[in-house]
Amino acid sequence: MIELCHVYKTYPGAIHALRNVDIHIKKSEFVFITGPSGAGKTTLFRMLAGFDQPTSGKLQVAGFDLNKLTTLQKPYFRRKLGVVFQDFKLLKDQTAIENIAMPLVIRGEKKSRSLELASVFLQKVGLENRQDIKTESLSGGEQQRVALARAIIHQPDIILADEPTGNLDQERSEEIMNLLEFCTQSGMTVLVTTHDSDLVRRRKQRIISIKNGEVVRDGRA
Amino acid sequence: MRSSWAIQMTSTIVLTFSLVLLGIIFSFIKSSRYAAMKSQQNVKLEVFFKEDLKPEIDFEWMNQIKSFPEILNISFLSQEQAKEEFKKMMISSFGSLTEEASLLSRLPSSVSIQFQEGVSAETKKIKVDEIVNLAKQITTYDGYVYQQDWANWLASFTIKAEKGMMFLGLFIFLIFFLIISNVIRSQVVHKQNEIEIRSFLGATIWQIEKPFIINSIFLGILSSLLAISFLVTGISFLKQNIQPRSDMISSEIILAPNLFETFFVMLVVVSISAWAARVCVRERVYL
Repeated sequence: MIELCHVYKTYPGAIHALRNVDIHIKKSEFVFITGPSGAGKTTLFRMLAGFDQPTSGKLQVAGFDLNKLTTLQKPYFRRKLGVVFQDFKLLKDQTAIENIAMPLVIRGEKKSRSLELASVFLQKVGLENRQDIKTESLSGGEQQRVALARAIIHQPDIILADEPTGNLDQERSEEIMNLLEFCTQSGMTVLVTTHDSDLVRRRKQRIISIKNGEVVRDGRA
Repeated sequence: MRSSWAIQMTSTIVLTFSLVLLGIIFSFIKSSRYAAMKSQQNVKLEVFFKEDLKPEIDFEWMNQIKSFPEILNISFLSQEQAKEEFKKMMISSFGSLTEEASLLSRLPSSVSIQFQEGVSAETKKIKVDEIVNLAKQITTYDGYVYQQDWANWLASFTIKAEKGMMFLGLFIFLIFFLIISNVIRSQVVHKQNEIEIRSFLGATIWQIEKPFIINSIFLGILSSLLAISFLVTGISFLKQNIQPRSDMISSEIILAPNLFETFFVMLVVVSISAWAARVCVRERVYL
């Protein structure tokens, strides 16, 4: 599902964000990507989401060769992804339910049907009583859960989550991780970047650790 | 949101007035072309004779001229009729005949020849030479008048004016493009975050640019309709209030753009609007 072969990413000024990264992730796998700040997690996240291209090496995600991805192909590639951003990237002047329904509307689903489905996913993330509240009025944790619901509503092939539990208490974090693990059972591949070493230890999933742009560990907890 | 409405309203007003200006230019070109055509058509050839023509001999010449397909009609003015007309004209202008009375005895008879519609200036000139050459064979022939200078001047002025106005029209379209671009650009900047999020979620460039294109087309159509109503009202007001000065300068020559021309300009306006929106969105959206 995700293949990185000898991937390098160098920014102007000879800043090597990633060096010789080799990662192979199968369908329905759940993978944590860990590492200290500045290790290259965000660069990797951006490249997997198609926002950036590698300087060299092969990068294939969900059947798309990202080295050769054209502008016309990008939207269709992104429809195969569900992305949870660290800053959530929600539309602040729209309600929680409208934000969640957006990926379906973009895919051409009728608005009424999209909102119907969105209310189901609001329940899954425990926000059923907040559906008509504009996201700017929601707390950080609530916004994070809206972002997660939006990432999974269209059942993407791959879920990329950047610190999805960063603003949540332990109980909520566990619920969210359970939901993400449940997604792998329906065939989705999940990649989660996190700083939370306790969470990673408890979950016993595959961990890829990055340091100074290099993969220093790839295995189970 | 309020500032966005203010920008849209101000732009609609500016766009409307630029289109009104375009309409005035268009009407001016159309009217001057019509006036030039009419004046060229109205120029008559007048052939003068020292004495009245003799029906049995000289009318053969008139019949010969009548047979030319370029000639619409021929009218004959005897010396007596010429005197009467001259008297009427002098009395209506000066109240009496005074010293011009001496001219009465020298007034010639004349034949006035009018050309058909659509005959070109070149053809007319050839025909005038032909007719005059034939007239010279008549012993009482006294000369001819064919004053096409004014008509020619107006025609050449119209051609020059058309070229100038065409440039001005293109300039107005350019202004129109820039105004629409500015409106859309400000909207794109205002909605940059939404555009970015929608593109992250897999929206195609068409899905992103569609609302902006629709908005710019709406602006274009709205300002076109406003401009048309201003023009129609203005032109009908002018037509009702203009004082006819001569055959040429009358309300008849003020021509508004017709339905086809209006539709064509609206089509151009809509295309420019859509194109401007597309350019603005694409220069700021990176998928």
